Amino acid sequence: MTEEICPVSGFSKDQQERWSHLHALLTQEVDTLHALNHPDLPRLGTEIQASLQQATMSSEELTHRKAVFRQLKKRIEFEFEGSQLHAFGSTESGTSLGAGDLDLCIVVKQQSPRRLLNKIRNVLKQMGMKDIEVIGRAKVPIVKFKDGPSGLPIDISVNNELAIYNTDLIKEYAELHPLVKETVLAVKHWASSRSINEAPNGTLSSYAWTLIALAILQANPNIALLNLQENAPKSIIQLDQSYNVGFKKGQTFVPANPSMTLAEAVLGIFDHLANDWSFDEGVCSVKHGGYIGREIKRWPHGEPIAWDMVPEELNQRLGDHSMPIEDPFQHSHDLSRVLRPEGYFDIREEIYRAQKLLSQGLSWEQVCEPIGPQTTRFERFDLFADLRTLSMEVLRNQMTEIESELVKVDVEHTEAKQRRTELAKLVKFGLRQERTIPDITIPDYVEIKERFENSVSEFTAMRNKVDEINEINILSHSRIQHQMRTIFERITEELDVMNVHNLNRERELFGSFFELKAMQPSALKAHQTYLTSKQIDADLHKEVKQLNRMNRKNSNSMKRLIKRRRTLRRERGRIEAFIRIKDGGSRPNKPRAKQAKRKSKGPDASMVKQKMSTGESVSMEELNALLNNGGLLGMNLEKEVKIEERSGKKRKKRNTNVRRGTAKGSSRRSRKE
Amino acid sequence: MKDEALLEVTPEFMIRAIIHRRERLAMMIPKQLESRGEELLVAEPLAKDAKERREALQDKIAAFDDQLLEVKSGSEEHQSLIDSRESFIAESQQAENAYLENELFRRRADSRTKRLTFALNDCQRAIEYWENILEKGWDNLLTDAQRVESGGPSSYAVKRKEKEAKS
Repeated sequence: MTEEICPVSGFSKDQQERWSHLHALLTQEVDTLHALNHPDLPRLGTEIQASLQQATMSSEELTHRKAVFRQLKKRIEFEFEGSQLHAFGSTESGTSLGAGDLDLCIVVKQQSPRRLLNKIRNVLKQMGMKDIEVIGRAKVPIVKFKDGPSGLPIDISVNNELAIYNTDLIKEYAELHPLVKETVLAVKHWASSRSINEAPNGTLSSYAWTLIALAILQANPNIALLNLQENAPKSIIQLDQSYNVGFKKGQTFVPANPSMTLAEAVLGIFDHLANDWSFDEGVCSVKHGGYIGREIKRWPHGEPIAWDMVPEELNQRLGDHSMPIEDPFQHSHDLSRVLRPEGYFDIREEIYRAQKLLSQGLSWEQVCEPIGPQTTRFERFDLFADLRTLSMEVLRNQMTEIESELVKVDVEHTEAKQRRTELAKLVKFGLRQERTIPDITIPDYVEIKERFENSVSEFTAMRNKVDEINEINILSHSRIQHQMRTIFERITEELDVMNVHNLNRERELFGSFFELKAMQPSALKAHQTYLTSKQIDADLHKEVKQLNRMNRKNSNSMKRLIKRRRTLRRERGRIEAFIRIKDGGSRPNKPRAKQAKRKSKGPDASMVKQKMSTGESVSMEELNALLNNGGLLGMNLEKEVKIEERSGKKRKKRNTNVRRGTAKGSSRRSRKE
Repeated sequence: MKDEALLEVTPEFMIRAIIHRRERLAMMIPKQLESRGEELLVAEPLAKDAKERREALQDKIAAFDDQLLEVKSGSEEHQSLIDSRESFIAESQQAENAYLENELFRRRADSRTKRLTFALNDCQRAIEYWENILEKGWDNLLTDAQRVESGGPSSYAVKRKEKEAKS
């Protein structure tokens, strides 16, 4: 084994094969790296463009993602009052490859992330999402799931607001110039194909590769990509700590060499990665326009380094800042902290491999030859696939069938609901939590109600009787017996001559004994009544238990009915939509079913008024709220009227408000009259 | 007695049981009283003698104390006086203990005699009282029982109400 370990690289034989390019470079089997040149740049450019066209998201996919996002946003924001669902990540920034997942973030106040995610899971379940998994113990807790019909993977994180700002920044960079976006996409495509964009597997994340590409474009003198954070106006947000998320927006940018092509830019990236990427000394930082020294950043190379861990300790943790990449806003966050030794060598191997293949003039397809399991793109989902072959008549027949089934389900559901309500009433009555006799309409339950009514009234009467006797006697049946026995023994027992009761005490005991004897029959009756009432109560509980069982069954059937109704409604909507599309018509001229929507109270009119008085601008919504409250004048008048009503002395002013004003001279009171 | 049998007990039966017990006590007490009287006759002279002896010894010790003041300390006479006084003190302690013992015996005999006398008187009064009750009626002994029988509150309920009213 030891004989096979390379004395220069420290790699074992398997590792030498796995990281062959890196090993060859270290053992100087290949020449020292030189500036990267490609023999046929136009061809390379065309190949890259073609691969991007194939890999990036189609407009259909984009539309589908947006639709899924809209659906989720509507539902989740409805379910969690005051929450906002944001999309972030590459889909939002426009730097997504088709295979990427949809990253969402819910921003909500005062909620424990894990509890919230569990609630979201329930909502997603209701929405028909699949493979729902809550990862609550991660640094950023998320819920992972797949869209039901299309299988699109989606992540929802909680209060991960910084990611939203990061997305905005990347988006701004991507929109600066097509060259920037395409170069970033090319790098991401290469990293994805070569499986070095998987943070959970110990390589860098896709986001880290985006930052690397941007930083290199910033450092490349032929491109000199703008630094959007340099001299940008500050914008401080307060999350777990303060973050400056300010960056320049709406900038125009032309590469330093305007004739720079995509192929040259991509080659520049690989040339830089292979020859100039000084991660041993510098930190990749988009915020600082490319690189910043480790000393300035105070990010020294942590122990152990990857080279110390070959050949056999690759499963251990890598030291801090082994390939440092600074987050643009969270400056203490090094994106390379996820790296593992194997990932580190994989990345370096792939860089030297790409450099070698490109310098040999091989195609971009060869450079990006897929390795390992590739993330599958979600299948394009045709909602109407099964309907396309059906005739209009069949479709209409299906619609009629669904409609009639829906009516049936609705009726069954209403009945089940009625059953549930009446069962709940009966249970409450049976347990005597509700004193009034319930109003029962279902014939099966009327009999139970009557039985309950008799039992409850009997029980109540018995308990009242027991209470009444107990109030008179105070002592229970058993206590009376015990007392009588004690007294009799005291009076009649053989006593010590030195310890004889005096006459008064004897008289007391005598009286007490016969009082207790008089109490005994009623106490016994109370005791027997109590036992009977207890039996009635036990019988009632038994029946209530049975009712609860019935209720559970009923609830289950209700759940099934609700599910069935939802499915039928979806199916009806789907067929309706397909018929509409087939007819080539627009949405039918019927009002959409009103969807339950939690109406926000809207802006406060007094706040708007205050805003207007200070000269601040107001939105249409705020203006609407103000007008609904009688406008500026109306609000004043209303206040004044209140004051007058209070004092009762001041003369009433005429209401001059347009909405409320009436004929001249008429007062508020006269209008009322 | 079983619980059912208790319910069969009548006031007459109860009174007869009481009288019976009282009569038995009244028969037993004079014998006891006699023996306690004898005890007292022995105890009293013993206690008296012990008391006198204790007082005499205490007087003697006091006289020694006076003599000691008059005699020069350190002399032979002084020393012999001290020795004699100490022997008297030891003797006085013994007399004290004997007195306490005899006095305790006397007091106990006296107390028992008194108690038995009282019990005898009480028995005689009780027999008279209960016999009178049997002849002339229940007096107010069965008031509570009659109230309860007629559906009124028991004395326990009355007491509770009074307590509640007070609080």
